[in-house]
Amino acid sequence: MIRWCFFLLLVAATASATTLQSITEDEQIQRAQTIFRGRAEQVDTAREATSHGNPIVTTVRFTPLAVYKGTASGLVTLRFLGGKVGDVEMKVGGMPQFHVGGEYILFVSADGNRVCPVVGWSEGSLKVDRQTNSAGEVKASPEVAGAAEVGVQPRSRHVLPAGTSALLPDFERRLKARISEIGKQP
Amino acid sequence: MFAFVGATTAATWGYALLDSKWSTRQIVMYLGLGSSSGALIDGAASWDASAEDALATWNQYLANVQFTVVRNSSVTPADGDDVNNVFFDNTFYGSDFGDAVAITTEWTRNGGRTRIEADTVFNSNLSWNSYRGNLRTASGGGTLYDLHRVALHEFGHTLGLDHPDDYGQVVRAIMNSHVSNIDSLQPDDIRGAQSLYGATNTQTLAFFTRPRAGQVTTSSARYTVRGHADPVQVNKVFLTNSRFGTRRFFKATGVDTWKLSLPLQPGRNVVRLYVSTPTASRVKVAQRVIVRFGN
Repeated sequence: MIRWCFFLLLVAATASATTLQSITEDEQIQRAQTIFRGRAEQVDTAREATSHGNPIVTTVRFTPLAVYKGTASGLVTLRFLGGKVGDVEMKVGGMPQFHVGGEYILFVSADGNRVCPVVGWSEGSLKVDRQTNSAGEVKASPEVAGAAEVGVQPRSRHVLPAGTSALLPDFERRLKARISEIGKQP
Repeated sequence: MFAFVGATTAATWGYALLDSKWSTRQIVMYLGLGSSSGALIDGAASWDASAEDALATWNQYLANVQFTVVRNSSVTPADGDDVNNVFFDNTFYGSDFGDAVAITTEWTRNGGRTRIEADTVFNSNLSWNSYRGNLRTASGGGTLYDLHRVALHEFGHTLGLDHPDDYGQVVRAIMNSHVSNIDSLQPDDIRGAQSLYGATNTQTLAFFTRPRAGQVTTSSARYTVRGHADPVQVNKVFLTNSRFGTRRFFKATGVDTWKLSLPLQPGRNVVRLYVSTPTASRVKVAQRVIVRFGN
């Protein structure tokens, strides 16, 4: 079982208070150590005592269903900052949101101690919807989901532009081809 | 989450709101950004001064809440301590920033409705300065991040504003999700904040957008003052310059977006704003700017 433990962030809703560097689709793929499709099995939220205060941390466990880059097996655990404990809620804009039983495509960073373990934050976490199409439909949040970016030009290419969707087989085929092409680059 | 589209005939607002706001009249911000290694491009004396200017810029438009500042804060920043810390660090409370340029937390109570803490941490691994105008390139390549405009954006989140363009609104706003060459608050940003915290009565009529606030210095004998007025409530916009007497009015062109090339006299020119409405010929707006001409 490979298990990742990452510190920080998750936001339960689409709070908006994070400003990101503008990165391209290729950079998002390159910066991800592992890209996989998985099902969220468990979501736990708790307040933690750390040397930097008492943040709320949410831990999400995924069962990998398909791996496009890198390796993943057993349960994959990602830890995010944020969540809700009692009446106190902590949100960080741009954090992806997960629900038990939900299926997602995740671009996971190699750095185990990142604020957000997912490269591109909410843009690196794509929901797979099987209700409208049994083959699966990959959906990007209609909102960029809370993160702003700084750059002279907006990203010209997203893995999946906000508010759009693609059939899972088509998306997987394109993603694998792009990963392969990037892997051949010197 | 709430996105607003104005119903007025000539102006459309696109601002979006988070679900939470402050219930206090003061938001105390502990600034611990420190001093810069060299002079900042916009002349700000320090990082704290640049951030404080961004806070003051928001303040001038708000009636029922104000940012107050603790300068050179010696408070040890901590997450979840109900203290609003603003600082640079190479990690976000011990964790790698990854792609993040700056992060503002949103701590709430009462079902997510009441804000209780908002820390803003700027990523010190990146190249920063404080400047106006188009985004610049850092000497080592990549973006030279402008603390002032990113702070304006992040403090907008602190107030409770979201990104209008995330909700399909096409508006000019510093609160849009793509932070680029817009370096100052736009009418839509101001209206959004005022929808949460109110505006003085006259500020609902009109306000300045250039200069943004306080004082500006120019070497030219004319300065173009710009602003916004509510086209439903306002017929005309006028300005006075103290150096020409308070009874001499200069008429601006436009209403929704108005401007005036104002003549200046050497020294301190105090510029005040008036509007005419369907029921009053001269209503003084509770705002002024100072344009200093020459030394």
